[in-house]
Amino acid sequence: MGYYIVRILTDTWDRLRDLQRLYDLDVFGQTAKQLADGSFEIKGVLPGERIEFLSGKGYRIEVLADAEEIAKERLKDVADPGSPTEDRSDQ
Amino acid sequence: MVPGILTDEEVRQVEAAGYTVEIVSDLSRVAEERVQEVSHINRFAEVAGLSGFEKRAVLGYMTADEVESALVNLQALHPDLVTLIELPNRTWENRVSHAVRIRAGTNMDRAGVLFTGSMHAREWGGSDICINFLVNLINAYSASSALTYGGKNFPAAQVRTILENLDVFVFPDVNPDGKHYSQTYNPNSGTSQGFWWRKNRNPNNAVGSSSPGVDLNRNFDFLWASEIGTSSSPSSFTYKGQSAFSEPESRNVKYLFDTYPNIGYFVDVHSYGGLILYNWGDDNNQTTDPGQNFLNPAYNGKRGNLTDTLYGEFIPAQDKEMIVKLADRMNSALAAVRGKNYTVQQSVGLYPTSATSDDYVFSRHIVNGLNRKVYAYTIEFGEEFVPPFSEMNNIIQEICAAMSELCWAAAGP
Repeated sequence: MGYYIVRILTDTWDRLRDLQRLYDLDVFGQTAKQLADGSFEIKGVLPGERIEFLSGKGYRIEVLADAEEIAKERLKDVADPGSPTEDRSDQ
Repeated sequence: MVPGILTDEEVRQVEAAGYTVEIVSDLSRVAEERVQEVSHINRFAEVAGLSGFEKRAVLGYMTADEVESALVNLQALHPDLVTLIELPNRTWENRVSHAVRIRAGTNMDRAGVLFTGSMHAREWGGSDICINFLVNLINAYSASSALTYGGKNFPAAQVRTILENLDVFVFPDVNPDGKHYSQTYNPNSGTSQGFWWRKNRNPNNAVGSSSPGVDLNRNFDFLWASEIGTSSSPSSFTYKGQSAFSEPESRNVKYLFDTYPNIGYFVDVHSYGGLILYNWGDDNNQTTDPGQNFLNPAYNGKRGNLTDTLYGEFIPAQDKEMIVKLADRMNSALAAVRGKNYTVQQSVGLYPTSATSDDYVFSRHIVNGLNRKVYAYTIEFGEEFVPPFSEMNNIIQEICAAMSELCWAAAGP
């Protein structure tokens, strides 16, 4: 179902905190802010099914970017990442 | 028939003497090809890589191996300025980590500044910032030249004062296993969750879990047991580990403070948010009631709730003033690079945390009066975890300017 960078909006600080405390989502705490209307927002990276789940719980979610595409693009910016984790026991 | 390695001139001499020479391989070409291979795999594998740092660094994000090579070769290139510090704890994937200390002159009474980077796996650019900072500072000192980042200039005299009055410690890649895992995720795997990895690579076998990783920035000894903004579940993004300092990577950071007691300033470079964060992270600050502090068990269970006034973490007014003043100076230097301001704020924000590096570091002198007070910060650079590298190059300039300004503040008159 994909993987997305999202902005999550909710009405109370407790519900904002629940995203990590209760639902254990990969939300980025340092992006949390209170908006002029008193509501709260935070950014995170979520799989598609969690977006549906949160929507069902009354959170408003805006998809900002496709996390899969960002990952593919940024990987090109590594000079040469080498191979996936190798045995380094001889080092 | 005798195999050998000859120069063009020697080939001509041997042929003139009546021998037949068959050229099997042109070693110059082979060498050229190999050099390209080496620089492609590890741009800083040799000392020469550091000499051409500016041209090579702009080619892309550094890998964990490149960061290590850069530190080793920086010491080889500048043995008079650089001390390589092998950290005592190997990572879960058996990597050896290094920090460096740079200093010049004979002043024995000097404070230290420590910068750390890439504690979270997906925050690749922290180590690029740290290595650029090191190389630029050393090159400027060696050339007796100014250090310039965009519109921010540190005259040669300031550079000299920094290195001759200060010990500058840099531990660029706190979590090399995690960064390697993030940088080598398979784009054809159908999921990019490896790219977005945050924690280290502890397999968590000891807790019987199939979910690897501990969040290193929830593994320090500051209210570790409180569970404020942390989790005891190994599958969680904010899993705090089995105990404070259960992880070799966080123990390596602690080792630097234990071993070099002159360190009085600390910046942990993270992404993202455009923020310069100062203590505390567990609750709102207050300057009036010293009894409300993290050591007081009477307040266990009352911390971390921003909607009540039951508890505020005590910070002396003069410490707060100093800590904000230094943060503002870093921000001014950063903004001078290309006109972009970061936000200076208390780290608690809207998401209280515990067991983070900056709070542990600032708490050390409160827990043990023999420890030096360390002004501690977290810088959250950029507007995404891994910015496009073209933008990362701009960010490197900004954060290096902030780091240099902190050094100047610590070393200057």
